[in-house]
This record gives sequence, structure tokens and C-alpha cells, in this order.
Amino acid sequence: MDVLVRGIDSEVYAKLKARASELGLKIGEALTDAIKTWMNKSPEKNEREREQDLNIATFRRMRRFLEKNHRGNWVLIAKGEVVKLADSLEEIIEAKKNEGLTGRPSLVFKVGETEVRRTLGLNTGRKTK
Amino acid sequence: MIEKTWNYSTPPVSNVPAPYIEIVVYNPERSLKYPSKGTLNAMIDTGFDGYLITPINIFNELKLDDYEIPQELIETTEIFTGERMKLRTSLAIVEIPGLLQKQIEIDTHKNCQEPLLGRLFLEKLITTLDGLKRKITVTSQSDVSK
Repeated sequence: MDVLVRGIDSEVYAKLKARASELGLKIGEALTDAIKTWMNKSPEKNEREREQDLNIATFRRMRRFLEKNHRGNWVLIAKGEVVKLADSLEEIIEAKKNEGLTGRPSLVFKVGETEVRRTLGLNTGRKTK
Repeated sequence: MIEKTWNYSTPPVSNVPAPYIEIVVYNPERSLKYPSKGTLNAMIDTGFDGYLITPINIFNELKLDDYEIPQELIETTEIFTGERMKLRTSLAIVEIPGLLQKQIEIDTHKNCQEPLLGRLFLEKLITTLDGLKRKITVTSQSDVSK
């Protein structure tokens, strides 16, 4: 559909136009995308993001201590706290349910062992002759 | 030993048929699944060394940030163009209905267009590609309930 909108900031519009052009999008497509993103930023989502940030801060604060004292244990961080240390992931899942944390953002990992390294397609890190 | 066979399909970005298998993805508590009905086609990609990478909408629908691995434990991934990408990784369960269920690490990235199953997923499975018949067969030795 076509919509006429008045009062758009010229600088913001110029940036939108440039970005859309970079991505090969029409202005309408870029604007629709931007509106969707804005619509998704509900207060509930912001609360969730705050909780995620809190969990990350707790991970950073506790990482050394966990690696020194609890290597090999599974850890559940939620609500900005270390909620559970366990021998198995199953125990972590149970604890998350029992503590009423289902649906709350959490960090889960095995201390000193969880490490994600991925290659997608050919890896440029490899030297060729 | 149990086995399943699927016909190749044509990927959205190529004219060359590729091996796809049907899967269902669950969150670790098994309270959410994707898709909610039926199965999802995932392409086998041996150039990817993870378990499963999916578009971000699947990651979000399964609320996988409930079981996310800290970003500091995820190395930046470099693809063949030299572009560096930071993946998000969580825990999940993948099922090939009637064949196996597996606890996995699931990756996502905003540029991921379709689900890809990588080499870690294929470990402990026998996967046969029949280019003549354009069929893929996966054989599992493990019990489906595990």
C-alpha cells in the first residue's frame, strides 16, 4: 500500500535511503523492516534484555571462581545469580523448572569444557601452499 | 540398526539437488517444538562442523535464550569470504522421527537462511549419499528413546 508520511527527519531519511541502497532494498521494504523492529521492542522484551545483561555480568564476575573451583560442573545462571551447579544437564533442566525459571533467559554451560568453535564452509584460517 | 531414506531436494539458492532430512527441534525441557506440526527440512552440509545452525526465527520460537551459552565461550567464526560472524549458541534437542533424538548445541545467525546439519550431528551415524538415485540414507545404531 502507499502511505504519505509528513515530518520525517531529513538526516534520518537520508541514512535510511543509503542503508537500503547498500542492502539492495526498496525504501518501502527498509521502512517496513524498521517499523517491525520498533514494534517488537515491547517493555516485556526490554525487561528480558535487562535480565540477559545481568546474567552476562554475573558470568563475567564468576567465571574465574567457577573455573578454579567447579571445573566439569554444569552451571545455571538466571536472575543475575548462579542458581545451580550440577553434575548433569538433566539436573540443570530440572532445577530450572523447579525454581520457576521456565521462560526466563538463562546461561547454561559446563565449566571449563563448553567452548564453541565453528567452521562454516572453507576456513580462511588455514594456510594454502 | 534403524535407517531412513529421503529424496534429495533443490535448495533455495542453487539448482543442484542436495541431501535434506526431516527433523524436529525441541527446547531442552521438551515443552516447545519446531515446527509445532510435521517436520522441518534440514540440509546436510559437511562444510559446517557444528550440529545444527538455524535461522533466527526458529531460535526465537523455541525461546532458546532460556538455555544460551555465554558469548565469551563462543569463538568468532570466519567464513570463506573472510567475513567474521559471531554466532549465538544454545542447547536443544534434535529428533529424526522414528530414528533418533540427540542433545545438541544449536547455532544461529541473522544471515542464516535455512537449517543446516553439520559434521558434529553426523558423528555416530552412517550417512550414505546416493548421487545416482538422489537419495540420502541415515542409519542409527542407538535407541530412538535415548
